[in-house]
Amino acid sequence: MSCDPLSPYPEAARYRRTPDEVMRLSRLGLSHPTRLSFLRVLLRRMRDEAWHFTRPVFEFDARGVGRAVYCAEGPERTYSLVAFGHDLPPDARTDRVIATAWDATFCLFDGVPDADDLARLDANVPLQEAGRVSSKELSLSRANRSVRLFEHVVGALSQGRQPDADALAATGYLMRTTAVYGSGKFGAASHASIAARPEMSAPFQAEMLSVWMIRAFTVDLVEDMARHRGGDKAVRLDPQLKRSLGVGNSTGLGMAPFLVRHPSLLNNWIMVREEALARVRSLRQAGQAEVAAFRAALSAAQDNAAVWDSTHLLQVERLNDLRTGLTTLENHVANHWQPQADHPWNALWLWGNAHLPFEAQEALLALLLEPHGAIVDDLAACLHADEAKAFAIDGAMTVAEVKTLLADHYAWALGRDYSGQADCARFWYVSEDKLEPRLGERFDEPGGDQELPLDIARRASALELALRGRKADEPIAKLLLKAPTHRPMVRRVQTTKSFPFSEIRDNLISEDLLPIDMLRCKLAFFGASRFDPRSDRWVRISLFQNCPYPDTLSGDMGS
Amino acid sequence: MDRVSEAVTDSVALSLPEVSSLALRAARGAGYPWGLCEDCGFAAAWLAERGIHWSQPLLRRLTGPRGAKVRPAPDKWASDGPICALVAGVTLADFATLPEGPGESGVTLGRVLDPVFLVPFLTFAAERTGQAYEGVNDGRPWLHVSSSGLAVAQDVSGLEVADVALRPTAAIDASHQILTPCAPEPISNETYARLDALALRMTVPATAASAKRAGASGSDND
Repeated sequence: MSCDPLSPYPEAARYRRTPDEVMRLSRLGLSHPTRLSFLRVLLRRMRDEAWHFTRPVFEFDARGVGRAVYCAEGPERTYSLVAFGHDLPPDARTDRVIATAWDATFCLFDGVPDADDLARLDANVPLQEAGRVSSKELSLSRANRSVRLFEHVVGALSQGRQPDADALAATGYLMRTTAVYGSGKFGAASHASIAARPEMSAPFQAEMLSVWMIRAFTVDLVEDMARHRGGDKAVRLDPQLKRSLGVGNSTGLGMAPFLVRHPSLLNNWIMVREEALARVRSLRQAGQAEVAAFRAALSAAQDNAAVWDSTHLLQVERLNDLRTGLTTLENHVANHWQPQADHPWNALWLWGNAHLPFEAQEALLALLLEPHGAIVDDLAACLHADEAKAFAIDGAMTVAEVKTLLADHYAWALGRDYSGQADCARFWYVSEDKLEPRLGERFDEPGGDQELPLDIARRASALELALRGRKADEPIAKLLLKAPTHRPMVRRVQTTKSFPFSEIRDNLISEDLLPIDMLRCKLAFFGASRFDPRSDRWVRISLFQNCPYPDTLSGDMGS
Repeated sequence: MDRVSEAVTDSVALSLPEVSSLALRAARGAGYPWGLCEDCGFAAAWLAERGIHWSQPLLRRLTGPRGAKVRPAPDKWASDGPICALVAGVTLADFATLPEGPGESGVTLGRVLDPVFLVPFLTFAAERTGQAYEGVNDGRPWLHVSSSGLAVAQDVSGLEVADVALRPTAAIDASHQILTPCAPEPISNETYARLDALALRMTVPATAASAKRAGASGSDND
């Protein structure tokens, strides 16, 4: 991480976890959102810079058909969410990427759209993948209603009463996005073109801003539909109930390969989180305010774990681990932990490693960061990566150096038999219908000949075999000239030299792979909560639950 | 000078990530090994970002002759015929600081197919060696590359084959124009359709089983 030499906490280095410990899916798949998650980074910046929010356009009929514009004005630039509401028959409602119609469609516009812009967007945004946007747009997205809750809320509000709190808690959102496209998709501006803007330099800030304003839109829409239906009888949603709502999200395999295709970016995300943990562990003392904030965060995490529900067997087990682990942690903190002792946070972390299941250990990581914004929040500036810099291969690197890097960073992948079913049961490919990544069963399905190069473990092993017998001082360029098939792997191996957390250290084509572990890792960095797998390949989550709205951002968050 | 300037109708404006993705997938669909496909995607986006025509040369490269085997050697590379600019480009970058590379004295590559695809990789070489290079075709300079700038002196994108020699040089000719990053210009629908057709060859049709695993079963009306 480029920020490392400038770290004001050099003593933190000896508290860092190693890539071998961190980069396994058995831990990455249990990641929890932290205060360095992307949506938290966005909210802090907007609060600290006193962003101003307006809603210059809001025109909907009783069915929720119409359009709206929400503007977020920062110190230098304004971004606008343009929202279109549609009348979608229930049989057309699907969260899958094959859908062609949605309850609502959105884009994030760079600036404030004029009438011509709105006309252009009206003709394209509702079409989503079948339309085109331009470099004036930063994201393209759509959402479907949670049918039962949406109608329940509109009905209750229209009759002058509040909706059932338990019903709201059970679902947690009025709409769920089924895709939020960013960087360059369907003609939109690339992330690189806006990355120099301070407010857009951290990852996925345009996408997070879109979703946050979509959340405000969903509440405005139910209140507006209730007014259409109930007239003067209608009431607005209670602020506490409103705050408890997030935006749901359905996510499938499409986002899993991202973590593999962006190694230096993944490194920086992980390194930032690990550096933050190490800084907290390195503290010699714990302040009273920090201890109190930690206890409050622990209590909130227990509340969240209590209402976090899933029917997926694996997730049920993990939720059980989380709940019992947090109870064990609560007891230890109340009865045994000594916050006045030397290095108390490190003592707590080491105790957790010895006594808590992985699921609760990773939750403890998030809890330890929570009271320490003063020493970790600056790390958000290190979340981005200049990926172009890591692209060029150093052809002069010797075979011996490449072998050393392989031994240091890919020992987990070497010496295995990738011809047997266990270690190559799956293959990643691109689907013909939606050009989305998919995972096939190699021994049961056709398409293995079009496999994507996500078989990192197998490629590392093949490279190691290819290097055997070559002269130690031979430049790697000679192997690449003879066998260009090794170029992707040599590039990755060389990347690990500067980015040790760049590689998921598990076989991504094995029969044991759980793609949802990759999804949870990425979604936790987004700041997602309520991770709820619907299979081993797609999940539902919630974003921005219990976070402020544009009209309550100032002075909120406690962070 | 190869800036895109003509008005293009019946065209599609791709973002840089779309250019990169299309070029990568088209190269794979055309049968190039993954190692070169990644470099192809990078090179196409690099050219597009600098306003240099990339789509037609790419189409030629992916549908035309693959080129002879490259045999790098100090001062002058050997081959049994014209060589592919993509292969030559990555080789040039890989060998940049080695005796077979352009180093401090330059190197003659011989006949190169679609030489515009050499340009991005020569910038890698220039960054590695810290040396500026001049590209020469039949004795005439057509390219100047250094770690800080790029100048292209003729319609290199239209050049289907050229004798290429790379010579160290000290300064950029004032008549050359430094190309700075810009938004990619639209490409014709016809070219896009042909590249997209190549790209589709690397996809796999969905099956009922794969759709079900991806979440197609059950209602989403919660």
